Amino acid sequence: MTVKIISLLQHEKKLIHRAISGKREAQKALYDRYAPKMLALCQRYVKDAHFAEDVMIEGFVKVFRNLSGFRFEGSFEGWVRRIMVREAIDFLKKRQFVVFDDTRLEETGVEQPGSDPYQLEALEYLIGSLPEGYRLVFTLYAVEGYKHTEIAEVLGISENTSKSQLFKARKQLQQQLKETSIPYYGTR
Amino acid sequence: MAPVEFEKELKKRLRSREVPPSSEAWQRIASRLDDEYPGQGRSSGWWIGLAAASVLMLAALAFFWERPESLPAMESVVSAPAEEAPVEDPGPEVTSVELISEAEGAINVATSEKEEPGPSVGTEKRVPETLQQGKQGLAAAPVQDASPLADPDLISGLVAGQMDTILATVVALEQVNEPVNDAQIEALLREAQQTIIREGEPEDRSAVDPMILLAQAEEELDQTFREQILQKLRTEYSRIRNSVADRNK
Repeated sequence: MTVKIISLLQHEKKLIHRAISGKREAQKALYDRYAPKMLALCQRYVKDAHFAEDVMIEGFVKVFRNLSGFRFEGSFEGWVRRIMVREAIDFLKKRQFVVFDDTRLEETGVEQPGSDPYQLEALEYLIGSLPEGYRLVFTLYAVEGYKHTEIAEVLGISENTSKSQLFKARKQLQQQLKETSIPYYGTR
Repeated sequence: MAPVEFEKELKKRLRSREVPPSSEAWQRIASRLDDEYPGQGRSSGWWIGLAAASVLMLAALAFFWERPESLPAMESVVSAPAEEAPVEDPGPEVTSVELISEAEGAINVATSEKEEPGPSVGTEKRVPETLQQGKQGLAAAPVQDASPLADPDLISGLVAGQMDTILATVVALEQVNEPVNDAQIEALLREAQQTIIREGEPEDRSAVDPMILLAQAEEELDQTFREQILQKLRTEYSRIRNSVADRNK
């Protein structure tokens, strides 16, 4: 298994080097490998499927344009994801009015749903229906693994705002889960 | 605010989700890349062609630069005016009237040729003659003006002469029981080198030929030529010394 992973990584490294030198077939191979995941990522931030694809295309152009800046220190997928996230957020900032509700909520415990696949699917739907600010912070934090300092920097907000947005997002998800009668489990 | 358990599952699930893009998406990316970096990702044949053409051009330049014929050809052009002097001599015979009559008809030219057979021969004959003379002069010029140092036979003769002198000096020194070391031999060889170069120069310095001056300047710059002479002297000396040593055995 490990040998297979190393072989795949070496193959990817070769592809990246060839793509840096402008080989179109190598760029296409990298695109084919990561485009489906990146489009799903873009759609989590940009709801409209066409706009999401536009964002992905713009993101890939930036990926190939800046490929020589990739230092092979982390995973290539992580590097591409970050470019896509930035692109999606830039799109939202330009096209939409993203509101971050800065009022602080009293941090009471949030009841957690279980790991049932049906619940997770419902959660995905509910995340998509969150207000823009909540959704961005929640997705960046819970899905992309950004820290609050990074979210603050990317979105141009304070760390406290990021924390309060995350708390509100969780609270609203909990509320919606209750309303849709999806069973959830007690506090962790 | 630490990530909660269900968020870990959510993260895993969402990050592995895939949505296939439309078929035009890659075309749009490729066209954008083509616009920004024209030529990249396409055939690199033109690159190889350009490199090959550059190499060929450099090879051709090197070939013509190295050709020894190029120098005499230039010399002949500079030396030509001295040989072309006769061209101006028949001037008085070839009058503008004759030239006009030539233009009007061949009969006048023919009669003038008959009446004045010597110097008043038409330009049609005289000009080729002078040109031929000029060509002869031009052709002869390089032979006369060529630097003697370029003649390998002359160099060989001078080397042989200098070698005799060096051997005589060495023998004379050894006869008076003075040990001859390598430094002395080297000094003698360098002196011989200078002598060969000096003796190789043309003796007649009354006429200054710019091409000879140029050739001398080039020779002065060409240290490898001097080194070649020195090397030849060294080789010759070693050969003679070894043969003498063999004979004495």
